[in-house]
Amino acid sequence: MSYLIASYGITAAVLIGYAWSLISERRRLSGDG
Amino acid sequence: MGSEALQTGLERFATRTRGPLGWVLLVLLGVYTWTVIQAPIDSVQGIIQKILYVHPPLAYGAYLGFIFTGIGGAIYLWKESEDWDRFAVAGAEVGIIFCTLMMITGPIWAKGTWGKWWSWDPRLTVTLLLWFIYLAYAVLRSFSEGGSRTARFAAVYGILGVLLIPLNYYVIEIFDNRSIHPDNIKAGEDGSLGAGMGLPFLMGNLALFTAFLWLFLLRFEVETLRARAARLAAGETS
Repeated sequence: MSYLIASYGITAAVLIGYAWSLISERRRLSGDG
Repeated sequence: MGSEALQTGLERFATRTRGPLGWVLLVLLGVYTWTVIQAPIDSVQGIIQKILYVHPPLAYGAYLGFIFTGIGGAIYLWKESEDWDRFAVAGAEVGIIFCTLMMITGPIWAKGTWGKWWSWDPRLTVTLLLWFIYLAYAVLRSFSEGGSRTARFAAVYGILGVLLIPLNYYVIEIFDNRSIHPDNIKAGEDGSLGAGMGLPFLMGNLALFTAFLWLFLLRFEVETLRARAARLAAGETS
């Protein structure tokens, strides 16, 4: 069960973190943030 | 001049598509989670088999990202439009993210099933090579100052890298099934998925494909905005 949680947890965390960093960068570059 | 007027066709498409696609993604992620929870537990592997619903879709996302890099590079060489160079860069970066996650979830499954994190199996070895090739692409681009010469070199490199994708996919068959990696998933009545496993696998592919597209469009927008900011800083008004 811990392997399963690790797989999905790491995938979700990395994709959400990456999306967050891109949104922040987009806001900064477009002057919205 | 307003920002809308500065937008190119590809950028307008990315901006307009990403919003609705985000809502589709949220719905798909909800359904995906539910189908994975509801999926039957494999009688041989146990619950760890459910990693199947995330690992191959990540691999397909990685393939797609690197194919986008090849397509973007090829069109850049043809049309010399910077938009397509940025398209290639976005594909490579999102592809690397998906490939990295594939290379994390695979060994986690292997540890639970094979008892070891890694094996120098043909599929795993070619996957590592594919990851290195596009990681090198991203690193080289980040260290270069840009310009058409860099973009042309990157385009050719990105196109050549795509040649490794069919080898990566078919390497199990090429090695006459001597690989310890499981066979490629086959759909249909004589497929390799057990009863009740087709729907979560389908939803995993749909959700992560949509996640890939959403991240790709966002990354493309960021790359375009960076290029515009750099032009403005250099005193151009394009």
